[in-house]
Amino acid sequence: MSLLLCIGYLSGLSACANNLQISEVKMIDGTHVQCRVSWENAWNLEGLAAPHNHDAVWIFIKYKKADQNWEQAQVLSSKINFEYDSQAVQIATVADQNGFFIQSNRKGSVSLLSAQITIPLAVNFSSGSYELKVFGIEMVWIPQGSFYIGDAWAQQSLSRGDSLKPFYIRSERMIAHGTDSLSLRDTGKSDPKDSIPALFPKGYRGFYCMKYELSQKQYADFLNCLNYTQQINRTVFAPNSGILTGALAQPLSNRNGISIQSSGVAPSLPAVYACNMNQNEIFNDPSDAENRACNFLNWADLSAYLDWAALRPLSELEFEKVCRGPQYPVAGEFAWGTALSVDANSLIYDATDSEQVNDIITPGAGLASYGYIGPQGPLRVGFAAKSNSTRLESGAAYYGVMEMSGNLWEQCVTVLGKEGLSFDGTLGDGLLNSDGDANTPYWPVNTGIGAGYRGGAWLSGVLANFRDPAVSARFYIGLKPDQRRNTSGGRGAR
Amino acid sequence: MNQFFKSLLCILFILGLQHKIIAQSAYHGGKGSGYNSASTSFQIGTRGNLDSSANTYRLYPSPVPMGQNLWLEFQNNSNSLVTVQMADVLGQVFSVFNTYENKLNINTTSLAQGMYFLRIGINDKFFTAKFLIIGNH
Repeated sequence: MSLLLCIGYLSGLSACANNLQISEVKMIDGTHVQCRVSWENAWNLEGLAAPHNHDAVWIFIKYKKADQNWEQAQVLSSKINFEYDSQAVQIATVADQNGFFIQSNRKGSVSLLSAQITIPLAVNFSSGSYELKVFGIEMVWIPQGSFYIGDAWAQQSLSRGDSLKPFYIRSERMIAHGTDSLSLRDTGKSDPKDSIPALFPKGYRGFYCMKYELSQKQYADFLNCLNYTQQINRTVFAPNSGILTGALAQPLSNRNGISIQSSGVAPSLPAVYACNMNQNEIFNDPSDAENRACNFLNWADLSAYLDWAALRPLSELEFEKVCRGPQYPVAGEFAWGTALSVDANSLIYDATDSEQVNDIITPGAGLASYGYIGPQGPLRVGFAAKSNSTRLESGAAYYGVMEMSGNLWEQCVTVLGKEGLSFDGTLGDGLLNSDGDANTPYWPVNTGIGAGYRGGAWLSGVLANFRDPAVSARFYIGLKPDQRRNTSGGRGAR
Repeated sequence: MNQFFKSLLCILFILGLQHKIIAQSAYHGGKGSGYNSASTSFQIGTRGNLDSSANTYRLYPSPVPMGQNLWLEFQNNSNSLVTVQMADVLGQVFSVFNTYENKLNINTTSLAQGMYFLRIGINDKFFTAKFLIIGNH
């Protein structure tokens, strides 16, 4: 009897994931906004089973005033003024009031989590007309805990100072640079050369990481909340260019479909950007690749988005924590924990919200987008995950973060020099400077010095002794991400 | 004894199955992505309240000189229970009032200068009013 009950309980834990929806947004009374948030296969495995974490959605709100400028709508940090179904979800407010997290209130996984929320704003609206927008980003909790850096195999892997063995990070305390077992170093060209300060985020302390790379719809929405001058710096062609002009590259280059939907007028009317991968007259239609990872982002673009969304960049040490979790490194391993891989080449449902591949996965291998053949650009975020996929089949990192190996390069803060090591994890405040650049203290500046690439991309090689998508590979960590490359994207943390 | 070991093995099997199945849920996926957004438009009137609000109210005097009482009037044609929460700018509720009438007299003598919020609930609908306490001159 108990066995039957147990199986019944367990069978309810599997379902489809993601498909985050924000809907039914309305202003109730001038100080409260109501909306519905839903997503599939939310999970909370804390105290239940590995990886002992949960997912959540980071919600933040912007409003546009009569002067056409968008502002951050702060949210009261006291939970008492929120309204929601506390049986289904829980709310976690934040001290800086730049948003809040919503997560499942049930252990295990929930096939479809849907909740109406009434959100108290800390905004004193004066009389006038407004537009208000609610944004949601699914994130994965990376729990506090010790973990290993380096796999003693990959190019320029970090290691202990006295050997090539993995280095064990057991706190957020300063890490020395040296030649003993408690120091960190790299014997290649990307040696830190200096100690890593206590304030530099090392991945020991718990944090949220975006489950997916930034999508093309996500970046288009961001552009549409900037003024004309700011758009100039966050795109490659002037905002007053013609309709169908690409935002980040020539239209359709390497599968990026963000285009101008409505031309701006200098200097005060910003352009409207949208996804239009199929180049028809309907923007943001079901085959316009809205959910495809956004390439052609340089460091200035990514850091501006993260500042605007009140998030922060990942450090390269956090990158390895997200991938590997508490497990001991495997030589040459990818984000899914083995050193075997299958390249995602056989594309189906191209550009739709179900874009995926049907490649056959060999035993022990994980699925990822890399290599020199197949689609010449990124795939949909989460393309490999299915309703019952395993970690290998979905190409997932230990805690459930997707595409940490392949698809697009992750731009991380490095431990290479003072420009990176001064990073202290300060969060973005939702506001950019007048040029549309990030202006958060201690982040690597626009030129990208102090930032570098991790995790490989759709064009990365996986060879016998050289594999950029490997967790510990750092071959391009010293290449500053100042160019809008067709392989560079990213994600944020909080 | 054999029965004990059989039960133990069964429990271990179930725990192992549970671990395997639950752990996979973090790696599942479907359509779409982990990002979405939605918007709305609204208008704020000259009195500071939402023009499209389902309820209209009067709040006076406004601002409230320190030590004076505050009057709140609202629509309550069905004589429903009305709950009014009073909160500071951080959202901390420090007073709650209940009435079946369509107005409420609120003692503000203990309040310092500053902005406060009233959250009024009638028939499962809520609206918010705000008021300012100012010093006596």
